[in-house]
Amino acid sequence: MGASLPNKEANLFKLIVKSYETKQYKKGLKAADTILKKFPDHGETLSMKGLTLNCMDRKSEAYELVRQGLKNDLKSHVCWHVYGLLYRSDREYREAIKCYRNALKIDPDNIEILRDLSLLQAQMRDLSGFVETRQQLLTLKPNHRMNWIGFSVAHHLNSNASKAVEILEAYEGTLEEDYPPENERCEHGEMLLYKIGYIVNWPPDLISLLEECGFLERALDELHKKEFKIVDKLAYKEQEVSLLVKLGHLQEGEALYQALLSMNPDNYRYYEGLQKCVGLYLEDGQYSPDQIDQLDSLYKTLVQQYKWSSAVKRIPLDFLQGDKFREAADNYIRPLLTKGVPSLFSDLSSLYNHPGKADILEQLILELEQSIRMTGQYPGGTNKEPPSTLMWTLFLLAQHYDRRGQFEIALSKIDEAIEHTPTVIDLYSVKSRILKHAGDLVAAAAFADEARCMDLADRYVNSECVKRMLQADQVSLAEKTAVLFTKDGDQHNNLHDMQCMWYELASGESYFRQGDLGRALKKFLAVEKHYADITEDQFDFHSYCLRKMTLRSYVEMLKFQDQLHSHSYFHKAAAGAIRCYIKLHDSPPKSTAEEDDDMAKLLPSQKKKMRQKQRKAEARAKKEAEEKNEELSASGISKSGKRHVKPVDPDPNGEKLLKVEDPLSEATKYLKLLQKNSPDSLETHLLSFELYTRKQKTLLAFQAVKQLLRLDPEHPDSHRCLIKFFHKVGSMNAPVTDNEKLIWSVLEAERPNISQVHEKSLFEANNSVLDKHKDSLMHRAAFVEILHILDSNRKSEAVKFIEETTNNTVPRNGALGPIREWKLKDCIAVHNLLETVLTDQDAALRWKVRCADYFPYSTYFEGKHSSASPNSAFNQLRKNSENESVNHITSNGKLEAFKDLTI
Amino acid sequence: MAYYSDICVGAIACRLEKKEGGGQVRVYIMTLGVLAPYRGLGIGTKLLNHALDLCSKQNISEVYLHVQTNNEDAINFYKKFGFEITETIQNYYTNITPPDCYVLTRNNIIASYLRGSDQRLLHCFMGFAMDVLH
Repeated sequence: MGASLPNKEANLFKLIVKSYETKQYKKGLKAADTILKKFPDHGETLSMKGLTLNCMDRKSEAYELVRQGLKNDLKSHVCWHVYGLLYRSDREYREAIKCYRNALKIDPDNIEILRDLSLLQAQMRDLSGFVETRQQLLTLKPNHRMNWIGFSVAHHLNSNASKAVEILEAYEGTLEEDYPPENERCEHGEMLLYKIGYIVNWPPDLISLLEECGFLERALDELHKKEFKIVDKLAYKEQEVSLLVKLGHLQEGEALYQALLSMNPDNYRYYEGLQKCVGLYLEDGQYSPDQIDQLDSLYKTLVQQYKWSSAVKRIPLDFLQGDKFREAADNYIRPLLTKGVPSLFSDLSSLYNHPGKADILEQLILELEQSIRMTGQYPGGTNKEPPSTLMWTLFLLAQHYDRRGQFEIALSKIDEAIEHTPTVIDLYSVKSRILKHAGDLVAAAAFADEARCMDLADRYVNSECVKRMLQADQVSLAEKTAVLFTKDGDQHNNLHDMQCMWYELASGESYFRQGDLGRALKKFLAVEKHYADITEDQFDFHSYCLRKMTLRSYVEMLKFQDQLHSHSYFHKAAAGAIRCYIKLHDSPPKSTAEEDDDMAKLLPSQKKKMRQKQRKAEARAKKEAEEKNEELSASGISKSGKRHVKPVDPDPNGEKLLKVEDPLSEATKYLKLLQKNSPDSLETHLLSFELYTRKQKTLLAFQAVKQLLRLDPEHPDSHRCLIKFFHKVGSMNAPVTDNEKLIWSVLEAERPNISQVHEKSLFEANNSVLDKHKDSLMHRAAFVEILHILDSNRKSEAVKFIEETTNNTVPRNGALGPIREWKLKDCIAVHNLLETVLTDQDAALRWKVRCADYFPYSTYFEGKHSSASPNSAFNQLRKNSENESVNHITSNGKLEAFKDLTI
Repeated sequence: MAYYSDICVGAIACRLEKKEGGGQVRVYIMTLGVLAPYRGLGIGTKLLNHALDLCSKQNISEVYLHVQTNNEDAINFYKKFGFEITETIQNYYTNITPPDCYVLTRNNIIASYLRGSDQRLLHCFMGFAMDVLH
């Protein structure tokens, strides 16, 4: 480096490099300028100066200098390396890799460049390249532990486990007997566990292969041999037990699981493992009566052993049935109600998916309630229950009826609980949740706010309240409430910086409902950006984890990153963005020309006024933004000495986002991510269908239909898309171009493969779906919609047909009230269908009146108990709070509850 | 405030007052309440005892409060702690009937405590708010 320079300058050059590494950029800059005074064209110095400037936030200068430097000295690996580093700092990894490769052409054995390259290859998952680079590094420096490990990890990631193990063993061969020294015991133990973990976590379909090679035996041997060197004893045992089970040593496995359970009797995986060892484990939980008896007695002994474990008491509720279930549930629930465990319902809620158990639970809890009310004791009990037990029982019942969709009963139970003990916050939260399910989002938000006010220091109730407000489309109120828990200063952006995605999603959805596509898109894309950042965040770990030897977590993290975009938040954000773009395509915002048209209709004086107003508003906004920018930069400098300027968002309302040229191609970007990462979600393919029909991509739309049929051929939406597709194809003109002919022939070849439409008219296909699902509201709705599309003359028939649907009750033996089949969400969808697709306003109104009866709390249908009606619970609450403000004692919610109490 | 297995079910609030004339200080109980389902468990006793304890520690001999004349339960409750009716004020309340109240005063520092204790009252925590009136 700096070879072409005379001595003095060469030393200065070294100083630049050193200053860069120690982040003393000013010093480096000075040295660079000194050299450049004498040698203004020195390439490497120019490059280094550029790199230094890059760290001082002078990007454009940096690029210019680095490019200049490279041009002056194309043969220098330093220049290429620097160029690569510059790209890397801007996350342009592909370009950076190219630069590194060029640098290595000049200096193939440069360890620093090789190491930097390997990091990028790991980040980009260029696995074969990664293996290669790692091999080179090892050859160059075989005495470095990290190089051995790196090479092995590279092989592991490249799915060559045997090679990976071999390398580690070769590495161990180079070590002395007394290795590791005391201060490296942890690292070495990690390495050993990682090595053995390879084998244990091998994909199941390859296990037999491993067994043939005796891999598992060897792993177990190795584990036993190295026991004293492994520091993480728990991981050692867990590894050992899974090896034992895989090798079929079930008895030993059972003993070891017992040992693990005595260490932690609340780990569900240990119980599962134990069941496997004794041959009593089924993935689907459908045990035979005989097996259930055996499991029952197994857990009866375990309960004796692990008295303090709650898992051991809870698990039997999953497999027991009938009377035994009832008895076990009774024993399980009683002490938790006495103690007052607010999470009891969510603990039990998975049981509601088991047939029949919900009814048993209902009877059981009702009996408890009755007994406590009458005698203050549980049925057959001897101890008097504390007064709070009744309140917790009512609380549980309220959640039970909520889950079953009997909102009226749920509300009466929760109201009674609140009257009993008005100081328990959870009661208000649950009341809010019930109202949300019942369809009254405004009242739900109000009660969530009531809960929030009872403990202003509780972030959870605050967040829950924010979410309810967003669901009720009270965005600005929600924003104010959310901000109560963000750091001072940069208020709203803080939520973005904290990657608070639930908030961004919920407010995106709300904006979408309100038709503010710009803001909605802004929020959805913000979430998408978080995911890009998370991918980015892994970069630092490629070097860190190898150095620190946290290999197991490292590989796990890489796997997590590989399927990052399948996370549900991402799915929601991408789906939301696509929906925004589709809507944008269907109803584009007014162009400026149209706006001018609107203006033309106004009187000249009005026009002038409006223009003035607009200009003023613009000027004000601009000024504010500038001031804020200045303020920020000023405070940023004074605080940390470094510049931490965050420019004010130039497009806070997403107006620019609305001006995209082609919203559909924007949407396609996100759709591709969804198709890749959520291929098993109906929504993905529904969106895909919508998008590609609009883009006139017949075959891609057809693919979406096929995916829908693969996932759920009976789903009303699948049916809808299928028929819509073939209806559209049928109404197209005969093919003219080669391309069209090709599409035609593909469809002709494919149609017989789809049983629903094979040798059937679309009418027949539509009828056959109806025959299969006569009583399902949503299938009938799909049928009617399709009927209308196929033949718009049969509209009145369609309307009549949907109105004839009956809302049946679910057969069951519950004690209180019937449960109706229809869901609120579906009824709203049908209302939309009547109103906007079939455009029969009278029918829509009739439907609304009918549904208001089914859903008295729904604001959508303006039910009689909803906040849309003056006599609702919500409006009562508001009245009360108005009264309170007249003669209230203190604004603290807790004390208000006492104001009418005296002893 | 009194917590019954983590539920807030009762509270007491008092304030310090300077007696007219002399420099002596007395305590006025502004409010003492327990939610109806949780009465009869000794929670009020604990709250009041706590306040009285604090008084005796600070050598405050006089504690007083107002109570509605028809609230026999309350009067009996306070009598157990050595309170006595020292005054009747007509038309003290404006929004409830009867509008009259008694002033209950307790002057004896050495009054013996009748502590009703309840086993389940493990987490009884009490805060004692005192405002100094000038």
